[in-house]
Amino acid sequence: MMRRRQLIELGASIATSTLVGPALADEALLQHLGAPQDLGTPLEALNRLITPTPLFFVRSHFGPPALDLARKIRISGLVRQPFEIDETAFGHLQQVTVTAVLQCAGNGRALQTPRVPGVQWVHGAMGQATWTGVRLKDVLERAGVLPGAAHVRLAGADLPPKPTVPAFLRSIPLARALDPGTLIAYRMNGEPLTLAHGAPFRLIVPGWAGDHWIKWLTDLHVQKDEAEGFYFQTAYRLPIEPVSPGAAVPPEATRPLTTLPVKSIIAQPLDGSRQRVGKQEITGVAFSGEKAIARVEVSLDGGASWRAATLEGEPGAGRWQVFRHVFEDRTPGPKHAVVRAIEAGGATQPEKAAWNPGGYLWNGWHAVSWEVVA
Amino acid sequence: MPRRTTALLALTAAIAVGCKGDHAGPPPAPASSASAPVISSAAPLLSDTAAHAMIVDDCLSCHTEQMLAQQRLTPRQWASEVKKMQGWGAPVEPENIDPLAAYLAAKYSTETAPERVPTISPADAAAAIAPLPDGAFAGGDAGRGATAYHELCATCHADDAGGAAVGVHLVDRPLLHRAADFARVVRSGRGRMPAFRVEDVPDAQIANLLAHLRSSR
Ligand code: HEC
Ligand code: HEC
Repeated sequence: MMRRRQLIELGASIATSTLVGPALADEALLQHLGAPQDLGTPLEALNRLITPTPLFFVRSHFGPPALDLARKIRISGLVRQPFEIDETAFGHLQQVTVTAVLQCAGNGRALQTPRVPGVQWVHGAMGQATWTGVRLKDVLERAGVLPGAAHVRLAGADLPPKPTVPAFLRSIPLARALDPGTLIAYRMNGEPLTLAHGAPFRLIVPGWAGDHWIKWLTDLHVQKDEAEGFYFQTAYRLPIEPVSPGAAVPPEATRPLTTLPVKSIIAQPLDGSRQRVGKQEITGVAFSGEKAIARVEVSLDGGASWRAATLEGEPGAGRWQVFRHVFEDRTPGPKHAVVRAIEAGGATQPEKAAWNPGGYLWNGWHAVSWEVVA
Repeated sequence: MPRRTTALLALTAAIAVGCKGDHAGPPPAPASSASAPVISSAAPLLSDTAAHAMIVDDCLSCHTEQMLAQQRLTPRQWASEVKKMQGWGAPVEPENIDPLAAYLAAKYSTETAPERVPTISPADAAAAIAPLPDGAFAGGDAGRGATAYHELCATCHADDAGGAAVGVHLVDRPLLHRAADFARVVRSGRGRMPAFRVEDVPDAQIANLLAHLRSSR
């Protein structure tokens, strides 16, 4: 009991004091929902290789559970030896740090036409951080996965507000669970995870949408089948075949969404802003969950011609790079830029994102207009 | 119940999609309808006051009103949202489903101006869910708390505090470590939760209730 109290108090100071450096003092989160918290990263912050934790978007279905750093993870189901672990037991396993984009599947929902219900994210439900933890693979190997296992069902400590609300249950295929990039993380950007970001443990599934990155992780159940229930069988699915905007899609014509499609977003200049004549700088981020980014192209003439932007940061599937295009403009007046990303040997970001009933994974071309003034 | 397009809704929401006039019923439900909005003729548009009372009673136990206010949906989409939420435990009276959906469809329609998203500082956002010292509510007795809980709270929040038809779940929540906020809800009430008088739940009793609920995991 004493131990838990102390941990809770320790957590309180972590939660309120982390990293709010002077550079961030006047940057604010977009409050899409106050309770439970759905908070977006401001667009102008999306041109950094690492999104500072205080500005990193927050998504919650039911809100966080109480902060309890002594929470354990139970591994059960089709394993030789079910067990419970916490951070002390992780000491025996190799500690790994990965840099990866976390993007909510619903990011860009507000940009879908026709509109669909759900949290109306525009661009802010994404960020990139370093995630430190142990490999899920190492934990599963210790438990000993039995033949017949094909999926790992994941649950966190955040309970639905009433028994009539479906629990947030998800699963990932065993192959993805055994991928060396899939982690049980306890640190984000070098600091212990905050409560809003999943303390004490969350899953990291680089390249895949945020609905797999279970926060407040408490249960890993190895099983033969996919998870059941609303949040796997109804939500977070895409039409198997493209559908016309507004169409009804029966459940049997859908599949679970997984990988983040290629996407780029302009953070600066902001739409509707004014810039002085002279040096103009277009910056933002580009990523794909599938492949590394090969190039990012900027058009200043509405798509008639394209120039390659410079890229910063390490390329890789599931991690973002910052792009930058700098040019001189001595003529005052309205300006327009549009950007698109192309993945290595793969897809080009589509001009218009494919509409789907859940409003998931919007990745259309992002355009901004600004005014150059004398 | 006969359904037909009402003049009111045609005015507020149907302009952009084109009014097709009266027809007998909705086509098989697409996720988002391109046809004229159809609502029950038995549902005159609620007044703001009546609708607000209904929303406070029925819609704000699990999320704030901004969840509703940020949507821009068709009448058909609103009707299915209200029904979905009723299925998830929103205590909407059956006869209120249509009027509430019609009100929301007029107020937050596909034609309504975009929501102005408010901002919050990172420090305030973290502070809103962070644990705080118990202060006057420290040192409760879990046994006495259990007795008080079963006497005063369990009818709505369930014996295991997991939530029921009326009350929400109270187990393992950040609010249990924000004693002053917890006490404020108990003493002011909220939505369908009645306010308890300080005499009935003095500080020591709040402490007991907290001790009981914290041990209920
Ligand atoms: C019993 C709890 C509960 C009550 C009461 C409730 N809701 Fe919800 N509502 C939820 C949950 C849970 C979500 C989904 C949260 C998430 O996944 O982000 C939600 C989401 C929504 C959404 C977003 C779209 C969606 O379906 O995810 C709307 C709109 C909404 N609710 C409207 C309402 C209205 C209107 C009422 C009152 C009639 C209401 N809610 C009452 C639990 C509730
Ligand atoms: C008549 C039914 C009823 C009774 C009795 C009742 N509650 Fe509630 N309680 C509710 C409802 C309904 C809510 C959700 C409030 C809302 O809709 O805004 C709630 C909410 C709460 C909340 C806030 C939860 C949150 O997520 O913010 C707390 C704390 C709470 N109740 C504690 C208690 C305690 C302690 C008692 C006994 C002393 C009690 N309640 C008795 C119906 C009740």
